[in-house]
This record gives sequence, structure tokens and C-alpha cells, in this order.
Amino acid sequence: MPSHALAALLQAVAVAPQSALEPAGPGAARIDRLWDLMLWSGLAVTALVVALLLVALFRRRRPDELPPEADRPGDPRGEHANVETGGRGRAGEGRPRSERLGARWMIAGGVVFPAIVLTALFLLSVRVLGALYPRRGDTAAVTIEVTGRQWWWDVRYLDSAPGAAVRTANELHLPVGRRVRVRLRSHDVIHSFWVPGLQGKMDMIPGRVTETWLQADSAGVWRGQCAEFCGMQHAKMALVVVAEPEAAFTRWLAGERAPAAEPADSAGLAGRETFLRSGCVYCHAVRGTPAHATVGPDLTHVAGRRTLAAGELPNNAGNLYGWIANPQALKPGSHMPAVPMTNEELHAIARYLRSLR
Amino acid sequence: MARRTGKLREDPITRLCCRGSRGVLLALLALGCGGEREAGRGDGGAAPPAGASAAAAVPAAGDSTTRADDGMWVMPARTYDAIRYSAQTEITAANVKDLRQAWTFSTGVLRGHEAAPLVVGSTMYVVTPFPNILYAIDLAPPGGRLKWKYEPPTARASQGIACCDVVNRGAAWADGRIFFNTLDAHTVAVDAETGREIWRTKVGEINLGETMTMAPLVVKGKVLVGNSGGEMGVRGWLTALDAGSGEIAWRAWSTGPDRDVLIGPDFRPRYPQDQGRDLGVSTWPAEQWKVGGGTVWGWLSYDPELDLVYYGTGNPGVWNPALRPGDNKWSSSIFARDPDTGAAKWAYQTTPHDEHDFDGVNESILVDLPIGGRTRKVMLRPERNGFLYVMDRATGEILSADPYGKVTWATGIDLATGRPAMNEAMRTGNRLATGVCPASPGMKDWQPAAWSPRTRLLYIPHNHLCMDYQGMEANYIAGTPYVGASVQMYSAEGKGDTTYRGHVTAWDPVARRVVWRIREKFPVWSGAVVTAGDVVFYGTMDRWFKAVHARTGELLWRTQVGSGIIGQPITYRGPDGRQYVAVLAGVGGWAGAAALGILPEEDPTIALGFAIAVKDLPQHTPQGGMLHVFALP
Amino acid sequence: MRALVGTLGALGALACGSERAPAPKGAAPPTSAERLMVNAGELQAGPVVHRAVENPIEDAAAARADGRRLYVWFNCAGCHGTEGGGGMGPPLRDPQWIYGSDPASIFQTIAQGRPNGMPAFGGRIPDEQIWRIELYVRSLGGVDTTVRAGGSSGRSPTQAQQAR
Repeated sequence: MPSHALAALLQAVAVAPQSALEPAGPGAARIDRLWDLMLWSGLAVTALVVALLLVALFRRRRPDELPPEADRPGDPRGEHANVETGGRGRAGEGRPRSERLGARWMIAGGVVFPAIVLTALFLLSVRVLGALYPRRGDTAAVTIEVTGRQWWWDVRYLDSAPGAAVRTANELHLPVGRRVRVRLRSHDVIHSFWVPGLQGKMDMIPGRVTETWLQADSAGVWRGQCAEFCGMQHAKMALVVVAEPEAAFTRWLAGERAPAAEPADSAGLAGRETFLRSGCVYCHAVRGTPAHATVGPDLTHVAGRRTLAAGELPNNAGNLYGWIANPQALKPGSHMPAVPMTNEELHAIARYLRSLR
Repeated sequence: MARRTGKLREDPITRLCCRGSRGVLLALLALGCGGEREAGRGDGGAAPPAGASAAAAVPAAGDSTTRADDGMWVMPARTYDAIRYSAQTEITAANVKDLRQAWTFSTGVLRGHEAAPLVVGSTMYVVTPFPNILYAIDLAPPGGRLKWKYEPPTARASQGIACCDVVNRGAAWADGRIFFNTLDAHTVAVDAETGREIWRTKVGEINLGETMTMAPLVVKGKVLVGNSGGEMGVRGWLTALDAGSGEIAWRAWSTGPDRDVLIGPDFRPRYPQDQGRDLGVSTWPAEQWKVGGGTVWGWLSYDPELDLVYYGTGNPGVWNPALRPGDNKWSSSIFARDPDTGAAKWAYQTTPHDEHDFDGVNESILVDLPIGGRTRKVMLRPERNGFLYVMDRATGEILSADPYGKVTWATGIDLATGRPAMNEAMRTGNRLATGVCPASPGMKDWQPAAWSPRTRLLYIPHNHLCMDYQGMEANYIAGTPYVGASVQMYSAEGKGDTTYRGHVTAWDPVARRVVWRIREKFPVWSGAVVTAGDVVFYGTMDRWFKAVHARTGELLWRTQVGSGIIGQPITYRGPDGRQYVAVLAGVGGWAGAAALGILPEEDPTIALGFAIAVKDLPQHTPQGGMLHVFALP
Repeated sequence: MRALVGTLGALGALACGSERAPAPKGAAPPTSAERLMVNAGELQAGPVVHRAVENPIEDAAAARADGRRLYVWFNCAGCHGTEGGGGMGPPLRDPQWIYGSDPASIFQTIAQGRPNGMPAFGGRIPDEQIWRIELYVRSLGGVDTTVRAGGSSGRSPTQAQQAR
């Protein structure tokens, strides 16, 4: 398919690259190299085994490879054994050369060779695994805490100054070329954090804190996905990872730190008023307003995000209206209800949220 | 330096009412001179014009041994120094065994009665729990006679947002008016003579979870009040209302930027942790200070010589500390403020980044003590967090801070930095900590202690509890609880112990040790009062009202009343010149929640974990609401 | 190879995407129009008329678990206890119900609030969620389940509750 049409398709459904086979960061690169090694070595061994099998199937036998007559069915006590070959061939010099060679082939090829190859691969895997994830004492300039929740990602950028911490949802930004430490928690059931283009999977287990590195070596956008079945909407629990140059990342983070944009006109004020009077504030927070709830995603800068509903919908007006009006039609079983509101209220709230860049 | 109050020789109200022209003259003089006194003499000590002190006597702080007792009780702590000491000597350790009930008066309300009755002249004033009825009882006829009652239109809905029962800690009298707060966050001024409402000001909003339960303090013409709601995500404040008009004069928030907290160029915090700009914002995650607690629901004291009001702020809102990294200023902090402007002079945060609900609202008892070879003006703070602080009240310097009971959450207070040395195993952010002592109601909660200048001992009614405390997720919805912790409390003797969960301790703040201690079955949730007769009075939740010897703790007398006592006892001189002791009985409050019809055995974390610790309370007391007055025969 | 996989994936996503264009919500929300006609107390002037309104949710087990989640998220647990033992608000495990224990009464109590301190949640959360919470509340054991349709709990509040 022509690549530009493919790109258009991808654009239309807002799918960012999500391929472990196209690594863009050191974590995924290590995994990809190991995978390649296993693939080719596996292929090589398979080819070798198939070749040997073919040889064994189609090669003509030499006379000394024929079995003793006594091994023919119907003569279990060897009464009609071929004396010259020693009957069943139990005595050392009586065993056919082919049998002796065969035993050596089996031991060499079935025990020694796999042991060496598999041990080597195992040690390599362990080494790669050990290099993928943070150890105690490792430092990173940026630490993000991601809490998996059914079925979205609660993202916090930590900071030594408590007031500078940032809370957002379903989208991560990274500075290009710098490794970022990601602490993973779960609020309810086991989830798994996986951005195939950048890093391997790491489970998020309730009651524990696990950690992983994320590093992107080039600017771009990648898609991640929950990789541990976590309930009804596990399939629609995606996240977006954006890598950008250091300066752009710093600007983004500073923007996220700021409280919500003040409405510019009376319509905007009315929109905020409607939002604060609605049931939205039972679950969502917008910093800078009296909405401080935390069981749903933080909406302070929701208009700046690329997707809605955990990576499922491109963030545009139509999708926002549709999502607020009837979330259960788009993501049935998710915890966002259809909050009772009139058309006018929907309009006002959506307008307000779209102003929260 | 000795200071003297204007000695009240005459009962002003009786005279005004009943003694004709001389009363009128006195009244005119009082009106003329009362304003001056409030404006600035502060000490109330120099001999006032004859009779002018009558209507507006302002009790002073300081060493009370040189001050004669006027026999009245005009504010819950009686005097600005909060020592709750009466110089009356009719009742003594020798004769208190003959004390008997003189009369009773039913309040008509069932719920926790935490107030101190007031006595001004020959009238007693009692504020009830919700609906906060104010009774004025004429003490002259035998058995008391109801003069009038004032029933404020307290919003019924406020009952649903009071964390710890619908209590009220009492009123304050000043300048012919009674001032008190209603549960629905209004402050009221009522004419002490007629019961007519003079003004009623709304100071808080119940839809934000704000209520009011504390007793006001009237200082220099300003009524100082604070809000409740630290478990509802309320942002705390101390507000000053003009006593004459009820208008808000100033408001000092407990969190937020310096301009909200009224921290300005005169602010001199003693310790490095309390120095810096806008700490009420920077020590919180973004926006969290707006729901950051620090409510001012406890006690206020005043030093007229230094002209400083002292008080403390409550817990930092949500109980799960992982939701609010940072020191969380200015929660759990002691403030010294100028009463005219509210400007903060110094502050000290007793428990930075509180992880256990250790509010800082306990009483500041102002005394002069010989420490380090010289007399220091100190405040004694039997703190929630288990340490008894002796602090220089002019500068906020900690002179000593010693545990006055079992403490496991910290190993001590570093006197150089002022910071507690916390035991890491007792952290509660998103984790379970077990064996945390003291439990959340603290080594001592709101129940006020008393100081005797004769024995030089502090009499502390308090708790003997530990807890398991797990921080968890909390969701903020205005007007609903914002807690995020699952707590279960138990006796400090061990889970399941029901014999020893409270005590009364006599503490020597100079020697820094316990002198005597009385064990009690339940947390002692009532206040204490001590007299010059060397008698300490206090009540228990299992319906005892007790008198013990101030020097030895020996039980001298006790009587059983109809419902558990969580009120503040007072002692006064009646119109007949006899000494009386009065206390409100009626169990409830946070400690008494188990007796209010809830089910801790089926749900052990209710009432923030307190109910399961006293689940046997309903067997020992029903609900009630009764004023008891005792006297010698 | 990779292009093929990507194309298949994209087509799949497109197929799912056809569900993603919902119609905006139409009429006014049903909650106010369908507000239940249920009395707050048990006395009815004139002959008693029984109106039984049951909880409309069919799959009770799943909804009850969800009801528990909402009971915690909306801070019902903060006043009534995680297991309904009471606290700032009355217990939900005992047979005393000040405002009625039948499903419609519990629904109305949550939706409208009640004068002595129960806040109103209706109009902000959908009726569906209130019914789920109602299922959970009734499962706490305080409701006298021997009483049948008619809407009355059959028991009067005790004196202790009158103080609330």
C-alpha cells in the first residue's frame, strides 16, 4: 500500500506507532536486538534441524546400517540372529557403526548443543532484563508516577517542591534523549505499563510500587497500551507518549503547572459556572477552581491533550461532546456516567473544557 | 511583676436591676469607662474608678495568686490566661466530701454537652449542643429560675457536617453581652440582661463543610472566633468581629499566601522551618492548601501585657499524608497575633506534615515560671501530639517538650530546630502503621487542663489510646468528608483492654515530670478546674463527677450523674456568697460517639476509629442533657 | 511485512471507529421529569395508598458491587461508615430508617437530601448511579426484608433517631 495513504489512515484514527519492532529508545532497542538474536539463532537451529531431518529421511542406507535380522518383528528371542553382527548388537564391537554415531549425534545435538545455546541465550536475556529497569540508587532528572486505574492512567510529574508537582492523565511527555524514571502503581487491579516503541512491559500491582525507565532518542509520538487484562475496558486503555526537545518539554511542564486558564468572556464564565454546578466536579479536578476531586482524570489542561478516553478518541470537539454526553456508548462499563444535563449545559461545559489548554 | 484586676466589689447586674439610683450612676460610669478599658489598658490592673469596673471587668493574665477572685466565670477558661483556677476557699480538700447536689436544670437537648456554664453577677448562662439554645438562669432563687432562653435559628442541615457530634464549647461574656457560635457557622451577640439578639453574623458556609463549635474570646472589643471542618476539606481561619456591630474586622486564614495568613513585616518565627515567604502555599501540592484544614476550633488565650492572642490550628485537612507532600503550613501550628489587626507576631508548627491527625488547637496556658534561674513568661501546651511544650510566649522559643504519656510516633522534639524526630515505622502515607501512640485524639484532645498557682501543677484530663492507621484514597466533594484514612483505636495498654483508656495527670512543668496520675476506664473527655482549696474537679464518661486532692490525687468525693460528663466544670460564688460547682452532663463528642447509636462492632472504623475503642460505653451511659450544681450543705 | 501488519491494524481501528460518532444527547434529562412520587414519612392523610416502586436494575449482583464503589467515591462512607455502621450520619445496618427503607424512599433520600444533614445528590449524578447505591445500601442488612410491597418499612423510628 502506498505509504502516504497508510499515513493518512493512521492519522485518521490517531494511531501513533506502537511497534516493538521499531524501537525508538534504548529499552526497546535492547529488547529488539535480543529478539533479533533469538529469531535468527532460532531460525538457524530450526534450519539445521530440518536439514538433518531431511537428510535422515532421504539418505540411502549402507549395508552396515541395516538392523540385525533378529530385530525383525517375529523373532523376539533372536533365534535367527545374524551371528556375524552379534544379534541385537549388544557387544561393543558388534554394534553397528551407525548406531554408535547416532548416539553421539543425539548427545551432542540434543543435550550439549541446546544446553550451550540456551544457556547463552538465557544469560543474555538476564543481562538485558537487568539493564532495562531502574535499580536502587539510580538517579533521573525527571520522575513520573503513573497509577493505573480502571481504565485510564493517572500521571503525576513529581518534584521536590510539592507545589511544583503536575497531575495529568493518559499522556506523558518526555525530553528527547534523557531517561525518565517512571514509578508505577495501581489503584485497583493489576495493570501493565507498555510503550512498545520505547520500553518493555512492567506490571502495576496494587499495594506495590514498580519502576521502569522511559527514554526516547528522537522526537515523536508513541502509543502505549495496558498489557495486563484488567477488566471490561482493558482493550481501550491506551496512552500517548510524546517526546520533544528539552526546551519544548520544559515549556510543556511549566504550562501544566499553571492553574486552569481563566475564561476570557462571559460565555466562558458561564461555562465554568455550569461545570462547577454539575456532577462533573464529583470526580474531576480543575486546578484554580473549587473542583478538587481525584477519582477521575485531572482536567486542568484537558484541551491540550491529543486524545480522550485513554487514548481512544482524538481530542476534538465532536468527540468531546460525544464523550461527555454518552460515555457508556463509547466505552461501556467505564466509570464515567452520563451526567444528567440539558443540551445547553452540555454545550457550556464542553466549551469550557475546550478552553482549558 | 504582680498585676491586679479591678476588684469587683459589687454584683453589677443585680445592682443595676434592683438597687435604683446608685445602680443608674454606676451604669453611666460603666458606659463611660468601658470603652477605654477595651481599647488599651489591657492589664485591667490599675485600680479603676470606683464602681466603673462593675459592668466591664476584664480579667487579666499572669500570676493569679495575687489576684482576688471575683467569683464570676465570664469565659470558659474564666480568665485570659486559661488557667481555670478559682481562688475560692470555701470548698476545701477537707470538706469536699460533704459536697452535695444543690439543684439541676435540664437543657432539653440530647447530644454531647461540652460547654462551660458562665456566671456573670447572679446569672448563669448555658449554651447547649445543637440547636445551640442559650439559657439564662437566675441564681438568686433556690434551685435557679429560668430568666429567658434564646433560640437561634440554627440550620438543621448543619448537623450532617459536624464530624464529632454537634457540640458547643460555650459562650463568652463581655460588656453586657453574651457571645457564642452556632453550629451553622454564625456568631451571635445576645443582650445578657434581656436575651434579645443584638447581632447575628454569618461567618462560614455549611455547603463547604464549615461548622462552628468553639467558644469565642472577646479581646479589646473584638470577638475572636474560628471555624471547624478539618475533616471536610475546610480551609481554616480565625476571624475577629466587632463586638458592637458584628461586622468582620479581620480574618487570618490558616493556609495560603502570607497576605491571607496576615503574615507581614512584624512576623518573627523562631525556628528555621517556619521562616520563608508564602509557606502556606509552597509547603503544599498545587491548590491543596485551599482544602488544607488548619481550622481553629479550639482554645484562645490572651496576654494583655504583651498584647498577644495565642491559639493553634487544626490538622492539615485530608488524613492521608501521601495526598499532601510538604510541611503543610500553617496546619497544626501555634500563632501569636495582635488582636487589633490580626497580624502574626510569631508562629511555630508543632507537627509539620502531620500524619496522624494531631491538631494544634489545644489550650495555651499562660503562666510565669522559674526556668533556668529566672522567671520566664511561658505558655504551657499539653499538645495533641503527646509532648507537653513549655514555650516562651513572647518569642515562641521552646524551653522544653516532654512526652506526658506513651508516645511512639516520634522519639522527641529537637529543641534546636523545633522539629519532631519521627519514627519511620509510624508513617501512614498509603500504608498501614500499627501501634501508633498516641491515637488521633492525641495524648489530649480539646478537653482543657487547669493550673494551680498554689501547687504549681498542671492538671490534665486526657487519653490513653493507641491506634492502627492506614492512609488511603480520598475524594474531595465540597460539603462531604475528606479524610482518606481507615483507623482503629484501642487502649494504650493493648487491644481489648477496657479498664484503662484515660487518665488525669498532675504535671510539674518545671521539673518536667508526672507528679501523680489517676487511671480512668474511659478517656477523660471533660475539662478540669482547680481551686485554692486544693481540689481538682473533673467528670468521666461513665457518669462520675469527681473531686480529687490537688497535691496527691487522692479521690476525695464523687457522685454519679445521669449521663457521661464531657463538659467543663466551673466554680463560682453564688448570690448568697456560697461557693458552688457546676458542670454539664450529657455524653457525646468524638469520644462519646459510640453512645449515640452507631455500630462499631459491625464497622470498626467508624467515628474515625474512636468508637471501637470505647464500644462498651453504651453500657455505662445513656444520652442526656443536664446542668448539675453542687454545694456544701 | 510491517506495512501489512500496520494496514490490517489500521483497518481494524477504522472498523471500530465507525462506532465513534455518537449522536449528541437529545431531550432534557429524565431525572427531573421522572422524579418519584414517594412520601418522606409514613403517615398519609386519608386512606392509605400503596405505591411500590422497585429498583429498576436487573443485574443486581454486578450493580451492587458498583454501588459499593460509588458509595465510597461519593463519600457516603465518610458519614455512614464503610460498612454502614454510622458516624456523622446514622447507621444503615440497623432497622431504624428515619425516612423509609423501601427502595424508592432510599432513592429519594439520596437524590433530594434530608433536612437534618443528608446532602442532595440528585440532578448531578444519573438516576442509574443512585439506584446502584440503593442496592448496596439495602444489602447492608438494615432493611427489614420481610416487609413486602407497599413501600413502608413497617417500623417507626426510635426516640434516639428523633434527636437527629
